[in-house]
Amino acid sequence: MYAIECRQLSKTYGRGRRARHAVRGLNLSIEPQQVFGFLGPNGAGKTTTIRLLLDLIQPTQGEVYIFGQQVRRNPAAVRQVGAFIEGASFYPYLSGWDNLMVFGRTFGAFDTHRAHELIEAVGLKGREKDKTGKYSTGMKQRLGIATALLHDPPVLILDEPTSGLDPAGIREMRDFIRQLARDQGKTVFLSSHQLSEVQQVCDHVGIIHQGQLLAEGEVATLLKNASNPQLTLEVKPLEQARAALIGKWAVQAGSGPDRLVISAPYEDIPAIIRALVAADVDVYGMEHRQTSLEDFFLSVTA
Amino acid sequence: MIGSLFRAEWKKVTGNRWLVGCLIWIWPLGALSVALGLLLLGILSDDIHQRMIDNPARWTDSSLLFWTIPNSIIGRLIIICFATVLFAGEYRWGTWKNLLPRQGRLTLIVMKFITLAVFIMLVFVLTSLVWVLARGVVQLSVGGAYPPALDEIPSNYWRRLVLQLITAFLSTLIIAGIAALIALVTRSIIAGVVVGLGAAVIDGVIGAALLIFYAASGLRFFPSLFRFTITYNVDNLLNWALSQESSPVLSNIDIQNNEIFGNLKLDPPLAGNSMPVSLLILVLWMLLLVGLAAYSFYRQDITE
Repeated sequence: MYAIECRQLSKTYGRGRRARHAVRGLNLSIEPQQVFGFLGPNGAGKTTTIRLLLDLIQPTQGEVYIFGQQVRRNPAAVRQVGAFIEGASFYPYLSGWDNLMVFGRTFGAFDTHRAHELIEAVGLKGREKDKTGKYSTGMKQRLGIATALLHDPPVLILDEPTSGLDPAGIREMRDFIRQLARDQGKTVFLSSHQLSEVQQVCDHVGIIHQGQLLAEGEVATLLKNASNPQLTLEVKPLEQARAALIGKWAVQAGSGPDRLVISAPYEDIPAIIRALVAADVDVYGMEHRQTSLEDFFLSVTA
Repeated sequence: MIGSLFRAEWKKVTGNRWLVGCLIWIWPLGALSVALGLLLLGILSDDIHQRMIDNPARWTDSSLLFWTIPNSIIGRLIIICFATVLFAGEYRWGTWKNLLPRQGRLTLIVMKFITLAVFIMLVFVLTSLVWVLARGVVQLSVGGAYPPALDEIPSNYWRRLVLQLITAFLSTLIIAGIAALIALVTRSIIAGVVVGLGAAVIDGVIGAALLIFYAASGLRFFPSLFRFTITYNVDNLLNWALSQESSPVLSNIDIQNNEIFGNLKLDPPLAGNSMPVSLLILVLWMLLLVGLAAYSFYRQDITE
């Protein structure tokens, strides 16, 4: 059974000529304990998808399932999810602690021990009695994560959780999310613009563009299949090196003198070195660059 | 579960100190201030002092006084503002998205209504108690009596009290229902307050509108519609509580040489509603408005 499953999910705003298709025929299957990165440019349909997952908006077509339970107007299914969307929103006249209390009691119970633990885990200890109206964006983000985790849900949906955090905060949040999946077995659905961060945290990603899912799969597999990684070599003599490699690999001139750029998988490196040595070429340097998630994202959404 | 949800809603209401301070606590504080003012007048003015002794206030009347507030225009306006902030505030603060994954929509909306009604009723109980006690202190301070004794309570007092409480409760929920419906549709505090006030005013002047239709058409159907309005039935219930008879329907209809109405006379006069009928109509209004508010929220896309 999937933790999150979308079947032919569509959302259209307006009708006729004014119709705007925010999400079109989205199919997603996210396994339990997976950390899934949901990527897409601005206006791609990420937040609409998240709102559909949480039953905040009704789909025009299709269904969402959480652990096999249909989500549409089914509070029992959605209660398995802890969510944080489009920036943290709180009652500004209440303190951070009181906000946690309100959301905890809305769920059915407020566990003060867990609330204390979460306040400490997100780094708000000592500030929980301050009114949230006086919180900085980063503090609100932290409280938002604590709120999402308050009822200890098996599924977490986090929309730009590091937005507004300083570099140290981003790193803490990244480690925290990893820890949630690794140590507590939570399924995490993470939407973010920080592609390097997603690459470090997520084991699977989906890329949405103009409401449609363009790519989905394990990060390593996607990158491996996307294009050959590049090998930059510093060699002398250059022409002799080019002659030794051309025909077997795609070779281009590099950005500096005596540099060649070769498109080749990681496994081919020994063969390339052997070919160069056999051709009596001196190798002064070598840099192997894997296709990054950012490269892949840009190539898919271009 | 329900108790916990009620406590969450209660925290949201009581935590908003500006809101409850400006719209709710003014009543008990106002009662206390008026009592203090009376005390000062009683001390400073011999004339008023003598009148307080000759015509002593009755605690039974004092206890009924504030229950008419939810039915007054001022009371309605305050309930509309209060309810609008409660419902539309969730859009303004973007908090529906935090609440909905935790609880069903209908449960949330119904609990908001219950919390609002309980809160307002408690405030008026408190206001009545403050007024009864403060008025008694004033009477005793000037050397006057504060009748009646417990064994001299008028026989219709409890009936009046109960009917006024029920009327205030229904009226509060009906007005809150109008405000909530508008707040949920417009998703805006300001729009909710403005349109809600408009709706309250329309209900207040609907009698005049029906008279104009009657004057133009001569059809008794139009004035007879007045028997189904909130205003009439609240007024009718209070009349039953006070004098045990129905309130006349558009009693001002016998107008002579009026510029708008001409020589208008409703003959024979329209019969008023009985007490059970008025109660039933108000309950139906309440269910309709609360139901419509809940239905519109149930179908709504939350994009804030």
